[in-house]
Amino acid sequence: MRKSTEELVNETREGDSGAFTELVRLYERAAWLVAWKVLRDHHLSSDAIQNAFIEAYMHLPQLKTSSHFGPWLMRIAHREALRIARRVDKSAPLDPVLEIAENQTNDSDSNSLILAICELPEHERMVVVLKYFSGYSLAEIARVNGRPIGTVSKQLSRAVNRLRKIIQENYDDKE
Amino acid sequence: MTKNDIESRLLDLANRWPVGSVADAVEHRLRSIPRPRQQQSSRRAMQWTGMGVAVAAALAVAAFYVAIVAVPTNLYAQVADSIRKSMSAHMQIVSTDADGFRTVGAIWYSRELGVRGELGDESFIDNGKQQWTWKAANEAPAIVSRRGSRDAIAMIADTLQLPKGSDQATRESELDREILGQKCTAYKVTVPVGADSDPHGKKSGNRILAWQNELRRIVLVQHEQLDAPTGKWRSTRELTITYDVMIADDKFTAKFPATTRIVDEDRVWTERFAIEKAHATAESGGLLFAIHELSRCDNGCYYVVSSVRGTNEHLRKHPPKSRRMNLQTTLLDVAEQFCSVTSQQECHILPIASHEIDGVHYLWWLAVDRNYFRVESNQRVPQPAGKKMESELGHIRLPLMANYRGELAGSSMVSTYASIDLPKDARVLSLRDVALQVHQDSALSQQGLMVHTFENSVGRYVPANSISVEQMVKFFQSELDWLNANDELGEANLSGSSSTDLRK
Repeated sequence: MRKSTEELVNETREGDSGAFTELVRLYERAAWLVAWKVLRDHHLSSDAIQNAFIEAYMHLPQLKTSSHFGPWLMRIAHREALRIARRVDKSAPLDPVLEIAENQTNDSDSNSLILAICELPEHERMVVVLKYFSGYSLAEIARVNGRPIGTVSKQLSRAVNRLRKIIQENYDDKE
Repeated sequence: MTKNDIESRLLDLANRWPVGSVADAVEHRLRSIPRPRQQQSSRRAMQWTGMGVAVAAALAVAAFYVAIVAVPTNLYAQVADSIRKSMSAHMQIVSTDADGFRTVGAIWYSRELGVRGELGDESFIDNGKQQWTWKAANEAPAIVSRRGSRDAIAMIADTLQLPKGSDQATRESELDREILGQKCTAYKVTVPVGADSDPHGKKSGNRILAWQNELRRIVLVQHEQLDAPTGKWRSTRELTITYDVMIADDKFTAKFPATTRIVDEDRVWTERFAIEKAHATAESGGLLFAIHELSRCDNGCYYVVSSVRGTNEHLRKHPPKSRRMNLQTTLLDVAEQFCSVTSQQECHILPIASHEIDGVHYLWWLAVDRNYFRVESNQRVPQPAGKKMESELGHIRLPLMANYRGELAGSSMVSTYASIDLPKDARVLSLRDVALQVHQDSALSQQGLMVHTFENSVGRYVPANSISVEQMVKFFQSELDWLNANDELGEANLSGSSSTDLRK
């Protein structure tokens, strides 16, 4: 059975570095999306989340509520992405339309979907990432997030509807 | 667009996720970071507050003692931590040999720009994304480019060769002194005898002294050796670190003349030895073997290039430890294939050369069918042949073996077989072709392959570029002759040796 975020954070606090690696695997795609939204560069985004995980590990004792690890990490990842963006002179997020136009390659589909996911509220984005990108079942997501299955199911359903709307309104006519 | 369309696009994106996992990289970086200390909960803090002035005063004294007198328990982590806290740093390393000959090296670090090192005849720049290394111009015209370390601190700390183990530090107040205008406190670092992470302190008569400034940053590390006749300590290696210094940006800029040949080592190596392109793979004991090359030789043996790596599950269960050998090579201790002449029931194995990158061990070798014989009246009389590797034409069964490294080192050897179909009309190589191929593969990496030689009863590893093709062919031939002679069936070798390391 998959461990909850709270359990993994507590085990990390107790010195189990393997538990932290599990947290990395659990949150890396969600964190990558946060960084990518700012940087629009695959490798820089990977660098940003690496730094964010290290930062999170070093400051883990300052996290008061273990179950809040996810949102806390996302804030760190966002901050780290902004720091890297300043360094590489990409201070402002690019215009999504422009970015897609620049990448009119076979990745344009993926880019529009990633952009749409980035626009989801944080809790919905996390549910989408765990369900579709990390292969978690609804029960497992519920356990990881400490929410009832019904809530997770509703969040997921709303997220998919919202994604459909975002893509139709913003990207489909431009692809 | 329906909900199903969205779901199918999401699943499609999941399958084509644009970047790999950072879990291993994060795990690697965490190794150089001390475990964060847990903060006391507010309730616990309240309890402490209520314990009275006397206890608080005692704690304050204790806290003062800990803050001022506490010493690093791990020099590696302490130095890494000191560098991590600074915007920039300059490290100077002076090594002195027994004859008093000094070699000086330097490393510059900038949190924003990366690392530059000039150590011996080798230099490197690593900006976190890309690394360039080169030797003195007259020795190697090419600049090798490879992916950056992504963790400058660990890279520096590894290069400084500091003990990583649970070393103990004791205060040496009589050695306190001012260094670079800073008042510094001295410690003697004692590393447990035999600690494998300590290259300098494990022999008796060696000691490491470290000085830290008032900000608890290590500023000087001195490796010393006891000079028995005089009873005095002699410095063998001295590391001086200056923090938050001004370093010109161009120190970290990789600018090379347009005519310089730049070899992208990662790309070239990956293309040459991609596991997806392997002729065959076989899994055993958590290790994944791959045959990257297999050719028949004109003398009846087979030329093989194989590799071994840990499976994902094995690596999760036994995370490999890294050992920095030099600027180019950080070994990840997973497993290594047989590196000495070995005989199996069905064949002899003659290792030619080896190399390792990112926890994958590569081996170039010759596999020779055994041809048993007896000597009767000074004549070789062939004996019934055992099982051949190519018992069925075009279908070859190769033995593969490896020993674990790291925490599993010393446990049983892992062995398996790989079956490969080799077309009857596949190119047949001469020993000279094999030697040329080894040289070509060696050129793909600046570090080069290490060729296994055996002279005057001593096995040696020498860089491939130091041994000519002709010398290599001669060596192969003499080793093959020697191996064939081992197929004589007599009192001592009635059935042929099995799984024997003949050279040990």
